[in-house]
Amino acid sequence: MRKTTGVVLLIALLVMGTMSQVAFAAKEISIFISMPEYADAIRELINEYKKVKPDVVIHYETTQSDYPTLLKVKLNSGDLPDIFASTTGKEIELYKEYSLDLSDQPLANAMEKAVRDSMADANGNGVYGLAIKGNYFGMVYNKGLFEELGVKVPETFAELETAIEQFNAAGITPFSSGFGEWWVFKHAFQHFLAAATDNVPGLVQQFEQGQAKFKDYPELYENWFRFVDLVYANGDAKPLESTISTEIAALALGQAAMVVGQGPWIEADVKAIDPEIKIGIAGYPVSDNAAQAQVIAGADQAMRISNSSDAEQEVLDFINWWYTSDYGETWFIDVAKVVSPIVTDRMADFDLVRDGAMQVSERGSAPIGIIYSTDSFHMSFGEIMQAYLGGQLTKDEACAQIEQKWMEIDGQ
Amino acid sequence: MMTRKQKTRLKWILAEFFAIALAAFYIYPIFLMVNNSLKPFREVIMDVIALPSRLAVENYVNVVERMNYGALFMNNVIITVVGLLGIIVFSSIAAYTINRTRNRYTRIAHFLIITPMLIPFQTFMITLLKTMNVFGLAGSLVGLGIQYWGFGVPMATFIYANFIQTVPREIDESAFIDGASTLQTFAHVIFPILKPITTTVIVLNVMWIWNDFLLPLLMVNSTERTRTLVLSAYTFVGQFNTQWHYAMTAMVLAVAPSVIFFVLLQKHIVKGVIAGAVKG
Repeated sequence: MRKTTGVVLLIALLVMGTMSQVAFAAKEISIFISMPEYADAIRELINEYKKVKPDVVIHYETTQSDYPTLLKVKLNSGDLPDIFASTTGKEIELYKEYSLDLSDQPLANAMEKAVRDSMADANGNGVYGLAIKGNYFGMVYNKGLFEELGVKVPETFAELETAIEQFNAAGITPFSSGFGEWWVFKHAFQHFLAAATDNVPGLVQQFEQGQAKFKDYPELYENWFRFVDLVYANGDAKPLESTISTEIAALALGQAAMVVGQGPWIEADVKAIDPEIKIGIAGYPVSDNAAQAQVIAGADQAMRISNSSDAEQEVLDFINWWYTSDYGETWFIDVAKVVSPIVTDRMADFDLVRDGAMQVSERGSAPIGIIYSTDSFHMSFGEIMQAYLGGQLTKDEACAQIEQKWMEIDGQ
Repeated sequence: MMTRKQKTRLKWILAEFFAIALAAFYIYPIFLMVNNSLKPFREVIMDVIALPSRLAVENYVNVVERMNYGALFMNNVIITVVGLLGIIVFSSIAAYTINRTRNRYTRIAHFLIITPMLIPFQTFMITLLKTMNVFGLAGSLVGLGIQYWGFGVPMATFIYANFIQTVPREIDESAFIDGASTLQTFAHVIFPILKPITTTVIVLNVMWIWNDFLLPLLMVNSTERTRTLVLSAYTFVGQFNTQWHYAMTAMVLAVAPSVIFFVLLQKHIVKGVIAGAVKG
């Protein structure tokens, strides 16, 4: 008897203990974003902000797995964090009714134009988020190998075929494909989209409404498939099992000359394997026009500011400080080591960041296309491309399925 | 010609061979996890299957520090212990009452307790978080432990109820004759008899609560103070890149306590499950 009463009492105590834990501090900012790879850097940022505003408490939460699901659960249960994340472009519109327009904030002026453009709504207005990083997309290659064998970095299909021949002759696998990852396809495909039209968002919208067809765009129907076929035939032994890790290892060990669908985010890992390696980034050859081989610059991820926050001014102060203070500038470059999303003369000390910036200033940047479609669509897109490469679908079947999915998933 | 004895022997050898092959098949992924936790990043990426060229113990040192292992370990302990206490107390008493008092109400109660096992978690995730926010149970370790009562009680009651059926009523009656109340009978006579089944319930729930991902992600991921081991292990998985050597190490460190616990108690669990299954 006494034992049971004891247990019941204990439970009652525990319950009361929990209830009393619910405390309300005056100035709390909650951050819930994806990309845990920047967790350490963000903690440093928060610690630094404590020196500026000691009375503001920042709760930082991050996860990559299940992020969209969790965000929707929080949103629907009335628990929307003050700062949350989405992709840019299409998802800017999706969460627009919950997020603040930051156009009139000082940070908007500090933002790189390419980044700011990807934070606009469907009509091209407003700044509905800020980026944790800018990014470059393109074909990452082993500069040392290209120089050693005297191969020209290919800008057209003809040059690509020559390069492939030269590498094959030298016993080096031309490509590591990463075709086992669904997102590798979207990263590469956007370069072909940019070649196909001057108005990428417009074309994507036409696809969503079923008005555009692959057949009408040779850059997509011919060139895109020709490119993946070439990579497939001249790539890893098992291309559909090739992942980002395969690509990193192959590139770093000098086994493959080029990797598909990657960008500056692989540099640290590549250098961890071979600190001496020289790597570069270039636009993909997308046609017979060398000028179209361009690197893509832009931000694919946005941090959004809730418009129902209790601590709106505190949040705005924090993000303005992040984007406009001296520490902020240092943070992007030296702490997070990313492509800076703010205007600055300084640059993170990475080959791919420097090379990307140089490419963009010399040859211009192609528009970032991945942001106009949702990742749900992109996953389907990747699976269809894998089925095509695996021989389960013909080219026409693959095109038909992509057109179909574009309407079904993103079309409403 | 093989004698009968030899034939039986051969059958056993075949069966054992098959069992060992099957065990190896299941253990292989775990072996890979441990194996890669002992390799530097370079080796993980170059060949997942290969054995480490040297043991990268520094992975463990780094991860223990970066995860803040000691503190998170205690978080897991709090959640698991609170969860277990409630599950055992409520489900054993419930099962006892349901079994010994048979009327329309206990039948309905039994039905209502057991059916939630069939409802998938995802369907009520949103309402759960909303409710827990109101009660102040979200964002707290003890609060999360209490939530496990609701998730654990159905299964545990089911197991207890099956077992209690096999406990003769005469035992209760003799206690009553000696002047014990119902609660006293339960606490001093019945509950001790339930020991093997209690062990089973403990082991099953520890394995699950300790390693759970989605519910803690929803409830306690928001501060460093309340995060669990498994959640922390996931911070090594990024948007594109994953620090595999650290992720694997963190996973080994997160899961190891529950595995050790299981190994220590497994002979009881086997006894318990059989007791419930056959006699029930």
